[in-house]
Amino acid sequence: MDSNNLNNENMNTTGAENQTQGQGQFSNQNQYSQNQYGQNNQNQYYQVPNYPVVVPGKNKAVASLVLGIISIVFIWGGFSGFVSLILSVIGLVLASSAKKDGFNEGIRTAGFVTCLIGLIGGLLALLACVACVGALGAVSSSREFERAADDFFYNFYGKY
Amino acid sequence: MQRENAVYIYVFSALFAMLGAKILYLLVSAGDIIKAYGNTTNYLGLTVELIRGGFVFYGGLIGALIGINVMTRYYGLVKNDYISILVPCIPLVHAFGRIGCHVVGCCYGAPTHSHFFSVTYQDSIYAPNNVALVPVQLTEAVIEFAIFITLVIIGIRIKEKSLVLYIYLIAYPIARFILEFYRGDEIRGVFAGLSTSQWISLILAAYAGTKLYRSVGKPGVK
Repeated sequence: MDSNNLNNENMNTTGAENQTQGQGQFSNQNQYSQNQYGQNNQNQYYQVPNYPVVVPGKNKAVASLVLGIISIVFIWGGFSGFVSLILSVIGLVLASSAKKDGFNEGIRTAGFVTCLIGLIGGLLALLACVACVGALGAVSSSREFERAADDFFYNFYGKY
Repeated sequence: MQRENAVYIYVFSALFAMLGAKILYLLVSAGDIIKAYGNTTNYLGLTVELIRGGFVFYGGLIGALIGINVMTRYYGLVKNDYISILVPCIPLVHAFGRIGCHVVGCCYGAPTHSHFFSVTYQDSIYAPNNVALVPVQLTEAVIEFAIFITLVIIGIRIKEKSLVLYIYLIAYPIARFILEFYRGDEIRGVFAGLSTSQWISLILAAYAGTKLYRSVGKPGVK
């Protein structure tokens, strides 16, 4: 049992990867109902309660990655670019919040980058004359192209 | 971490900038928008078109500056560290945007008589075609590139980094004020003889001028 305590303390200090293993062996609820808890009071050292190790910000970073991937997928669907815009902005805010929580793994950067790609792609798919986009604007803003694009969306979405 | 902080602040201030530009566009064109809503039968299409197009640069500038302030406070960073890095980006981005304006034909100039210093569009959907216009977009692009290089050099040499912002806020509004007299598209509202951009230029230049004037003589200023 003393070795169990030592295992506890070690597992608490070695980071998030041990969380799942720790849950398997020592669940919170069992600890206080076991008889060994009564014996712990007689030890010299204080038993550290095995709180679940929650990595702050990790869920948000994963969520931002998922939203970034979805926002990239929705770029190529005509007016689904709006969905792409909204999801990418939410993903960016989530990644920023994860950064503020102190989560510094690569998942956060990946979520940020995918949301950025989704944002820029959504803008290109939708907006005209965002401070007059560069040379691409010359191709896509000629009169015939605008008319053809408007006709396409008009017919595709059922003559709104 | 420093570079990553700057990237995050830049992206979010760009989002703030787009919001600000759109808000200023809605404010300036409020009368036309209300009239258009009264005349149309296709409300969804009109709303989509309003979301899709129509931005004013000064709203974007003010939105970006608000964004920098908000995000540096959100992350608990010192604003002055990042201003001298982020502010020179603004004229650089704007210069490329102006080149795009020149290629497409929006933000066009007034008709001119000069045969050398003019641009004539044949197929533009924004500018009047087959009319010789003053190439204000190219002029502004060149001026913005010059401002960018100047800001970078000053930002490297100066000790009080926050002054880079005020130098930009004097240089660009002066250039914009002068160029606005050569502009041919007055859709953005005219108040008492000067357009909205000129009024905002005056306000920004006055604000930055007072800030610069007050900081002369403090340690670190040339």
